[in-house]
Amino acid sequence: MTQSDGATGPLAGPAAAPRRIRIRAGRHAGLIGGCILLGLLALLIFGASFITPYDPLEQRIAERLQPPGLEHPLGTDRFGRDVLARTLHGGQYTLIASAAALGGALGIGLLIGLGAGMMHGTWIDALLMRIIDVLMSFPFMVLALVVAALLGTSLLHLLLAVVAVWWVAFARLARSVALQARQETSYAAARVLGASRIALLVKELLPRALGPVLILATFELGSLILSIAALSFLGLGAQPPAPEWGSMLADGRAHMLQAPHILAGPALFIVLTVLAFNLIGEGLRDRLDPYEQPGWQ
Amino acid sequence: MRKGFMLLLLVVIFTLSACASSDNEPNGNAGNAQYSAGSDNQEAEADAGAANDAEAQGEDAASGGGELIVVDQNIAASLDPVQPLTSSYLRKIGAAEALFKVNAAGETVPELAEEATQVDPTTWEIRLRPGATFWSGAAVDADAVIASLERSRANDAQAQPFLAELTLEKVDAATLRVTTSRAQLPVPLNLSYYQTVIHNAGQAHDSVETMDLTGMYRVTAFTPKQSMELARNEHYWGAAPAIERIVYEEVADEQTRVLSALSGRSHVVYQIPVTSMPQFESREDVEISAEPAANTQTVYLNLSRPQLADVQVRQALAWGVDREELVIAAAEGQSTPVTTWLGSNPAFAEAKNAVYSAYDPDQAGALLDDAGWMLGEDGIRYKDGEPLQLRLMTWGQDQALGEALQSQWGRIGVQVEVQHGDYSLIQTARESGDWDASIEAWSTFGEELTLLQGQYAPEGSGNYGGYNDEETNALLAQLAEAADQQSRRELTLQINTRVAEQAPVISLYPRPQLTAVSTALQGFEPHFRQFEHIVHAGLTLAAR
Repeated sequence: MTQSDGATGPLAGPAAAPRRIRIRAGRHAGLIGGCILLGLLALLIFGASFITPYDPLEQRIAERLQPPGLEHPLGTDRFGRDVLARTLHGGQYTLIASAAALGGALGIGLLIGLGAGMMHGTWIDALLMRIIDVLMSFPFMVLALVVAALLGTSLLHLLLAVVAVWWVAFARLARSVALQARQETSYAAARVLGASRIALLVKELLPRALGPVLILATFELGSLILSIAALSFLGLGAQPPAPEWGSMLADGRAHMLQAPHILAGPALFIVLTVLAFNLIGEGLRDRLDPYEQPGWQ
Repeated sequence: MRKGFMLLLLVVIFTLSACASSDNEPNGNAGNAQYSAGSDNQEAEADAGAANDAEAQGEDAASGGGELIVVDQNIAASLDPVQPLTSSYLRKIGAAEALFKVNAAGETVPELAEEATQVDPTTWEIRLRPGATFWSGAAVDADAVIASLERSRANDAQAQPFLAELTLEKVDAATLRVTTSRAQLPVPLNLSYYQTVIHNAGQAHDSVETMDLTGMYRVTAFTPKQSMELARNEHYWGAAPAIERIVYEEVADEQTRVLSALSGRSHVVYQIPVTSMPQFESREDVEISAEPAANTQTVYLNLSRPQLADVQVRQALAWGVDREELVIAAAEGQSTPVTTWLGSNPAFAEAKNAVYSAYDPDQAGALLDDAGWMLGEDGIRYKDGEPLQLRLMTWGQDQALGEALQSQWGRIGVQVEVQHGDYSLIQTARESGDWDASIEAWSTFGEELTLLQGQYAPEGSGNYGGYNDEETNALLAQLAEAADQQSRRELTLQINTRVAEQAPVISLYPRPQLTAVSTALQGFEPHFRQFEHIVHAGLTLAAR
């Protein structure tokens, strides 16, 4: 084995530095690519009113199931609604709903995780951890079904079910960060100087937890979009005639062989959006990973 | 070497299978069956024509014997005919029979009975078919029939509407006397429902070995909610069926059922979704039988809601429905519009397009204006600052129908929220009173008074919206007393019209009923009650 063969390893010597820089640049390219892709999608989705003149809800039975063409680039569905208009407007539902659910889960997760970490060793920490254990073992889909059965089917109720389960991952990560922070001198100094619990939480723990939690959030956003689409596909989310991607796939399934173009729009946008968030998440992880920082040996 | 051996083995297996298939001999025993109906001293021909066809086809070398594969969304969960819906599946597949049956033209004709005679307004005499036996060989005599019907009455809640008003007594071994608690009850029709199938009440009916029915096929194997296998009843009293065996399978997923039909694996696939119609268009080996059911797709309105308590609002909703468009968008064109509830019943064809003769959004708008609901700038109507809105609950395959209605009523300024989910959600909402509108499809075939009272009398089990109209109630009372058939029919149509005018429900179209039938199967009969009419003696299978 030559010296250059081991250049990609963490113990690579100075002679290997040029290749290592190229590899890192490639990883950043993923992050940049993800951001560009997400930007383009956001532009299309939030600029839907300027891109397509059609109302995503208006039914034109005479134009039903038309194949893609100049007038309707992605064709029309069983009610004669423009699939492109529905896909782009549907993206707003999906992205806003996913972001809202993520925001809720992130806030709850951070609060509970950091709180539990601060009170490590007390019964409160033990109780919160057991609740987290229970929620982690509880099937998310079943919870969503229970919520739908109790409260009825709607996007809001679906988001409640999502938030009720999704905060757990953030809480666990935040707690581990808090436990680590408690060992540090600055935290001990702040306590000795009489900082209140809220001050400790906000000034000592939150800044440390934000980085890793945000990276996790980027990955989770992709999963959230898929989960919300899946539950809407099952009829538990957005209700008709809302053009949500999952419900559009469910509607189009009945005409899958006759008019496959109905599925193409929402399916493509789900894939591209999840891909964009995954690229960004991986890029951020690589960017912030201390093991990948220059000078780490 | 191993591959070559396996290939050889496969060839041998296929060859042996082919030889075995060719052993199925054509059956030429399908005989004539000619029934007479004693009702009103009129002679009625039963559907012996199909059996005659079978006889003719049975002589064809390509037909006879073989195995018929029938796929359904659900099959029986038990073998006891008094368990819910079990008798429906048993009758559909040729295992069970009742005293009478309803043919495709809507006529009630004898099955295990030979004839029925109305002695006076409350008394009927039913003569049983001589020679009819159960699978066990026991005779289907008056004692056995009474025991069977009494067992159904005692154990099957669904049989109550058909048996509750009947008193049964034996005249002689082959004759029953049926006394009714009210005049002019059509006893043969009551005794044609699947809930009244005749079974040997002395048997346990808890296994294939102990069950004892009268049908042309007897059950030989059964896995609840999965499959049922049947073999020809060699001692059947009537025309012997040409097909030797039947496999009856449950496939709950509709797309899987479609694939089962398209692959040629099954001969009859019941409940094909309307959206799959185009997949069958270019096929020559399988056809779609699209006989509309005698069930009207209906929007039930909650009349206790302030906005729906106003008859003008309800009439506006009825005028604001473009039924032609609904049939295309929600039923893929596989039905025809009806504007009154009885319109889906073939016996009341003249009721089909009464009252709301055409889609008229202008008329709807004028009615809403009169009712004080004025159109706002946002396209929604308001009264005293409150928007005109309603929540439409749908279930099963009716989501598209809900969406189409949402769009159509939106055009006249009614804001509709569609809530699609499990039927239990609708039931729960009704029990709590927290509902505005829901879609259902009740059967419109049966005894007129029972049907109309169930739907529109204040205490009717299907009167979900709390409809209580003096004129309708008076007409129902007259119908209960009406002696002759002509006046009963006129009163029925009057009630139907009155209800349509008052619009406690909005009738849309007969529910589409699609069945995929292999072209290898000859003699399939489309029936408006297809759910209990698939297998009969006239079916034959051509060699594939």
